[in-house]
Amino acid sequence: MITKDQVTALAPDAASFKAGKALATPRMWSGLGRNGSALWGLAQGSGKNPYQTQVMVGDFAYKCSCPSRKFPCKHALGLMFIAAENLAQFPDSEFPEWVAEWHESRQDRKAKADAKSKTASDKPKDEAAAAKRKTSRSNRVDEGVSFFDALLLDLIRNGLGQESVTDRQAWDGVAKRLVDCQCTGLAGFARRLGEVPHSGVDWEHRLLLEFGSLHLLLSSYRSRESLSPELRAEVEQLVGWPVEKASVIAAEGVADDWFVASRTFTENDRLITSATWLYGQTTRRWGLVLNFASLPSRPTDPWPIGGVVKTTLAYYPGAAPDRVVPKVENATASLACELPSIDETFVSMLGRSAAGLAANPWRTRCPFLLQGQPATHRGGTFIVDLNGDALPWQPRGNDEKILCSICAGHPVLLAGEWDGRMLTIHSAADGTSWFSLRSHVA
Amino acid sequence: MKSSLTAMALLGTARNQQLPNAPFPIISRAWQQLLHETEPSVAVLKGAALEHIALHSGVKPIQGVPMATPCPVDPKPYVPASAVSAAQLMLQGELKQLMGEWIARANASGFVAPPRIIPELLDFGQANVHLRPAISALVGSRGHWLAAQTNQWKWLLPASDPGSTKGGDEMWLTGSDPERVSWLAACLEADPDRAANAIEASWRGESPEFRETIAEAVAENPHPAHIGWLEMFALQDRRHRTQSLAVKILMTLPTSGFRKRSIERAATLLKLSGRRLIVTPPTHFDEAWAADGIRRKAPGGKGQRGFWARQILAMVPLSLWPDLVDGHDPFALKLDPDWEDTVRDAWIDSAKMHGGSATLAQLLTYLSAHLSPDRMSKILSDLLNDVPINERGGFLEGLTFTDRDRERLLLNLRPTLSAQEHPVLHHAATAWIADEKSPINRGEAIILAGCCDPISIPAVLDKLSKLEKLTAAAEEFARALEFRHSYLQHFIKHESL
Repeated sequence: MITKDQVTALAPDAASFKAGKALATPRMWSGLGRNGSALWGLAQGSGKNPYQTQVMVGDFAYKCSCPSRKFPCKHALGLMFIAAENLAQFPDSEFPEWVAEWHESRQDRKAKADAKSKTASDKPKDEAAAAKRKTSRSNRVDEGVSFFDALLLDLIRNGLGQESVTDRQAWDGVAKRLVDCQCTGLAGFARRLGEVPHSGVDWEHRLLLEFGSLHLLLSSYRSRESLSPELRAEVEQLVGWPVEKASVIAAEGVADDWFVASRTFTENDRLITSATWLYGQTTRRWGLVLNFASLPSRPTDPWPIGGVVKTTLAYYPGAAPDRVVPKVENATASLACELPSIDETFVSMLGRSAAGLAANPWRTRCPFLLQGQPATHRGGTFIVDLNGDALPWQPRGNDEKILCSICAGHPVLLAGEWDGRMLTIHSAADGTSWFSLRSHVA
Repeated sequence: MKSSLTAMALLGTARNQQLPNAPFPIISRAWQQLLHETEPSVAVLKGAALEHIALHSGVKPIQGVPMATPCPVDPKPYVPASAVSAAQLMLQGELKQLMGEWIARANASGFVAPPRIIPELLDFGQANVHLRPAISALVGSRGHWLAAQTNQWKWLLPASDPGSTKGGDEMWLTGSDPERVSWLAACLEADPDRAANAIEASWRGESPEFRETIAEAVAENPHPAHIGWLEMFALQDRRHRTQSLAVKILMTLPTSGFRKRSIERAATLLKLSGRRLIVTPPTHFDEAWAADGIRRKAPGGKGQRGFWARQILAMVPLSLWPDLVDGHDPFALKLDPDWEDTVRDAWIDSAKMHGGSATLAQLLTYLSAHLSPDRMSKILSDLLNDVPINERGGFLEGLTFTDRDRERLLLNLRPTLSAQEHPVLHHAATAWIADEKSPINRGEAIILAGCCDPISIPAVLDKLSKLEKLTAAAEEFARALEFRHSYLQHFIKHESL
């Protein structure tokens, strides 16, 4: 299953999206066909021979014989748009030779990679070398932690009125230094601190609270031996210690019918991160899937918003963890026949948020799915739930008009996040369909 | 909220080491521990961490936020999702020339727009005035509710009852322009005398633009109650459109003195000699004519007598011309060669001013036989501007033009064509695609694609697919046809139910 929104999200830029849409017509293609999750076709270009384009819908891998350096190219986008509009345009067929070749080479590569990974894991580890590397890294990280904490203390000593506090470039410099110390997580904190002075009124108070939270993290890291295993894992990840995905997948997971509630994109230093919140309809648990890509590519998110995927998700280790990874590759989603039935309110959501903070004081966002509608009061915008309780809402762009139109004075199912101060709404039920408020193409 | 701790942090602990009290009772105990910190900056940071957690975990929702009155539920079904995605593309600027058709088809199929695209549709209506009535229908009760709630898109706000407690005459006296227009529209229908009195009382103080708006509203709902202010004020208005509308309204009112005078005045210029129409323009300007809106001074390069004659003759609607020429068809008469152009110009002016499809068809047939195609092309846009697009083809089909001229007419007038009823025009809309040297550009190609009969789209696409090479404009034409075909599928299915 493939939707137009998914294909749109894959377009590396607006020009590619437009070019892809221009090719999204069967008239521009010949030899369209499919077999399982493979789609293919021949696109007539300016040259004598048509371009051979093929796509694997499961993981959106693609191959095209055109000379474009965009990923994916306009032909792959066009082919996928046709499939999203009407899959019947691709008759079931045997693989043509040029498709079979790529298919086989992919399978070969995967088999080799699996074998290599097995060989690597079977190979007796050079324990001493591994320990040495770990110690070296640990020393670098300690250095980064000490540097950052010293910086915070220095800023508090000399006052937040200093020029360097509001200088984005200065904070970028701090982030770079932390990356050099292999504290990639802390580098992210440093970049966010650089944005706070430019984020509206009362920034000084918010910046101080961020400093406090960060100091707590750094102190906790230094005394991590005394923390619970879950909290220690959380603290180490926040600082920047990576967790092997394989070890996460190997752990026990949570099986459920997961509703794909929302998806947002952020860009930092040419790295695009997509964050997808999934809601387990039976377990009522939340899971956050993160995917990454370097510009000009876009992250591959195979599950469309509003879809339901029956799968098992493994949680990363941590305190009140959110981040998950699918235990099964290529699990497919189906469009939800009915939207989830929810009885959450703001009171229960705030209770959940507080409980999450009690377990993990650095938890910055709490997802929610509840019935609500927008309202304005004393110059501010709010979302009001079924009990008449309201929390402040920060609409972006045309969100307010669109959500007003969708709700029209009636509560509807909304998905979003609470950051402790403000709500952000990402998706809403528009009639019987699920609609994302977030745009995808930059 | 600048807490005491923030104030301390702004100053810096090097200058101030006095830790303030705990901001919340719930963290007082933990706060006490901070007093034992040897390093004040550490105390401040720990205090900030405590305050951070307390604030973020202690939020309580607000109560008593007033809610909007819910919008009544619209019983009509939403436009199907796959047709909506076509609209979303057009609303973002892609092939937007076809948006008018999409809206018309959605309305004809009995749909309403799904809520998520209503704000964009209303923004589109803001910029495309001619589509507002159709958009108003398509957005349904939800769109009207939204406009009232957000105070945007005022053109959509419903007319109010002039006598209702929500405004009344106060609305006319002190309301905003859209509110006054709403009041007027309702009052014109419900109580024309009251409307006429209100207009007369305020006319002198109105802006030229609003006077035109008033005249447009009254033209939709003419009534003898308006004869007074129309003859006293509107006929002499300096804004040409306002004055034209006044003429148009008064000529529809049999009891209007202006109408009687105009017919009599025109009759004095005309005389039949067998089947020949002799025209004798006035030799001098009667000052009384100024009160009827006839201008004395001719534009530079034009003769005065012809200028006066043209105005006098144009004031009479074409439907009344047989009365001026003893019951004959005026277009069948041989015109006085000295004043032939004057009479034709007067007829064209009259058609523009008064409208009327029966006489328009006759006039167009007459003009196409007597004017050059170039001149004809220029006046057709004016003459057919107020004719609905699905009726324009009927006026154009029988006229004699080259294919190139027809292309230009199609681009200017954008009629909806039927391959069966308008075969000549339909051929002109598609014949150029095989011509590699055709001057049609990509934007024009989209417009021509929009004119094509939906039933003929598959055949035209088939024809395109057989061409060896397509120009960029022909490619765009094909793309627009495919795009139309994809969304029309949904509407045609429903219209046929």
